[in-house]
Amino acid sequence: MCLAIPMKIVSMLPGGRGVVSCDDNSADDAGGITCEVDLSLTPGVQPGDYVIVHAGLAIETLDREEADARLALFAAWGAAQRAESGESGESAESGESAESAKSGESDT
Amino acid sequence: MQYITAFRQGDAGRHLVQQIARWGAQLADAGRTVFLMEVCGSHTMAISRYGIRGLLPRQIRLLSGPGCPVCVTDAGYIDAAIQLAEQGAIIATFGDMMRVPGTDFSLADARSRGADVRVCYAPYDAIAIARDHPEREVVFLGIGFETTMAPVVALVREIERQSVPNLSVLTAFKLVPPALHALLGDPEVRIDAFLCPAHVSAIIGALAYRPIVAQYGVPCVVCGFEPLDILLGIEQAAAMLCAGTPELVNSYSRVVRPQGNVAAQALLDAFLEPTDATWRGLGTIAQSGMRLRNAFAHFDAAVRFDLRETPGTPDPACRCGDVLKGKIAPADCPLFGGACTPLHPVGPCMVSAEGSCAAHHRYGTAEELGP
Amino acid sequence: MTDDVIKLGHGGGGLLSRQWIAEEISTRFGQSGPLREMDDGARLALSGANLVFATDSFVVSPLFFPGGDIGSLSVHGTVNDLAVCGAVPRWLSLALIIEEGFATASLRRILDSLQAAAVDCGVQVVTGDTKVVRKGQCDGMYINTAGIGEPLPGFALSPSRLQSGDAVLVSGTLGDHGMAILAARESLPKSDALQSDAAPVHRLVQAIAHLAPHVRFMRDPTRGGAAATLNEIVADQPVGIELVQGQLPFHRAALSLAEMLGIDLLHVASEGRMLLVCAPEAADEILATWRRMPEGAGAACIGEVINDPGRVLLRTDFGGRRVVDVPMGELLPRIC
Repeated sequence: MCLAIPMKIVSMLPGGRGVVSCDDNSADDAGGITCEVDLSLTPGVQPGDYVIVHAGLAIETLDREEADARLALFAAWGAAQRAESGESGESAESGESAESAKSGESDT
Repeated sequence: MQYITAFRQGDAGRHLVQQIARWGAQLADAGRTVFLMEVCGSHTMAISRYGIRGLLPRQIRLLSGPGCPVCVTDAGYIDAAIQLAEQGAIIATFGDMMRVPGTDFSLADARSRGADVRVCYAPYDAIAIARDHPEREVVFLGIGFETTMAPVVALVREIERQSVPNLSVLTAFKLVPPALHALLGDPEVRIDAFLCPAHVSAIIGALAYRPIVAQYGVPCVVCGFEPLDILLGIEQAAAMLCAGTPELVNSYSRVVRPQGNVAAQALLDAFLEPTDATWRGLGTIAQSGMRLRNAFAHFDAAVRFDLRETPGTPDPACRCGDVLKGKIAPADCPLFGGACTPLHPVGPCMVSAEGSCAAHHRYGTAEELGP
Repeated sequence: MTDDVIKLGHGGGGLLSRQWIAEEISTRFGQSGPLREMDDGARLALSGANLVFATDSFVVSPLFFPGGDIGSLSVHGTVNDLAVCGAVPRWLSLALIIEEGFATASLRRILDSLQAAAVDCGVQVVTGDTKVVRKGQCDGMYINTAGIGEPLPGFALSPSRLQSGDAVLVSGTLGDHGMAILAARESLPKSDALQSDAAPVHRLVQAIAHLAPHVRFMRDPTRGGAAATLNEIVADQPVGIELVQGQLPFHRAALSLAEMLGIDLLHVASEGRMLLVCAPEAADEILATWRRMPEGAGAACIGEVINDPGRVLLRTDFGGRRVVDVPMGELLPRIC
């Protein structure tokens, strides 16, 4: 249970609330979902920080260093997997097409 | 979305699947099969959604435990909510609760019969509903584990702060650690390791599971809900089981702190106190629930409306209790797929989309779907 | 039917809908004739002329949503039903049910939008009806349109023509309409970027009409989403469909909202997309043709037909597989 996703703080609101967005593109919010959430349980957060949002409340902050370190590890494993496997061309393509299918849609 | 989609990258996943296969081979050599229980409904869903079961070696079995607060909500609670609606209250609820069967009806059924039931994404949204209907009582159905307690209690805090006289909360909060202890204390239950819930742990902290490792010698891995998190968590648990070195591993350190969210714990402690709770399918577990403290009784719908909640009577043929404890697989229950289907669920495991039986029925089983 | 009252889910396009249709409609009207096929439109012959006849009712709320309104939707919906039956839409009937007290200005906006959509689609509204009901009924307005179309030559569409190895194509991103509607409702997170995909698809069909002999079947994924539609197509067939997770096209905003609400976009309606199953050798040309058109910009091959009777499966990015189920009924956000 406890569906919660990382969202980026866009702006602060009075009463311990704030506006968060799913969009990672800080230059332009197009394509993003925004909503108002309760930030009272993550004191000290600022616009630009990431929080984990569950049912309209930020339950924790995302430690980006930890997240990036973990992603780097996964990226290394992914690269190792592609190098190892006989279908290295195929796997790389399907991975890329998945990303481009998703990121490409932001232009429509 | 980068911190979501990046944790679903296929090649890294295949690498982890290979690592897990190596541990599986070691277990096979030792003639062992190990059972990993994931407690959290969101883990069950993600495992089903990404077909993870079908990628694991036979020596590593995944069990789905009672981690779905919707599933384990007693039928009597639904009946009480419907009763309030029939008395003219507006019921505001999370979407998950709509199809949960009470003794006779679900909230969706009650709505078809004229009850005013509204789905909210956030408990805070109930305030706007109450403001729009000052002449009616609005009741928010506050079910959930520690993660969901936070936004529901924040709602109570706001009801008080903003003075919303016609809004109250009907709570059915449950705590995860007592359930884990109850499971491990049952001699018929075979659990070799836990995949601990991601966001409950964000509230209570990774260290909350240390007593379980110490007392039962069972490895506990706190892992996130993305498929790479889950595969890594399984790999880490398998490694510890092969080595015989049970430890607490926080594999979701990007969100979960050792002590948890102290501000959240303080909020919960200010408003709530422990109580016994009935878990549908498991029975009563002592001190496994939370209720509003007397100082906040006024916001408690059970007190405001003098509700007498009668516990539901489970169908005698229903084996949900055994499924929730991991004793049997969904397909082993005689009602599975016949009398009990997602359209007409009998027990909690089929009720919610993330219940073990519902997930298995919808997404297929490992035996059916190899890669 | 075990339920003694109709539930919202019965109209949701999912399991409840199918069950209800099987038990109450097919038994009475579908034992013979076109209704037995349960196609989007009925193929009829009149004095030697062939035509296709389809109908759809529109009860969307809110009436005005990002990317469209009930007026344009009521044209596109029936136009699309005719189009995916391989027909050129020609004539529409228009039945309006309006709530007493509904603002005339809003009504005119809707009718203007409807007129513009009809002109754009090349269909003529030739008959209609208006009813006004008491305040509190019909959520402002309900519309029904029925349409007649002229079959294009060369199409012989039937699920029974699906063969293992056939390509499964979609004309664009999935689930935008349903998510836009959800986001337009109160109490849910908002997005300016989330627009309904409501649009006509008849031009997409006409553009590939020269490849008609290679096309096995077409349908538009409305209520219940691609999951419901694909399951309908292979139900009772000796083949199934396997989708590839990495090839499913989704708009980023729809994906984000779906993640927040725990919703599977395969269960979410589109109103301007079509699914098409074709012989594998025709897939590239169909996709290339569609991608040159504005309404087909995001077209993709999302999977293939397989020898697994009656099932729709998804191959995940990790090489795992899972069943793509028919959704329950109503689309509900989750917190669990």
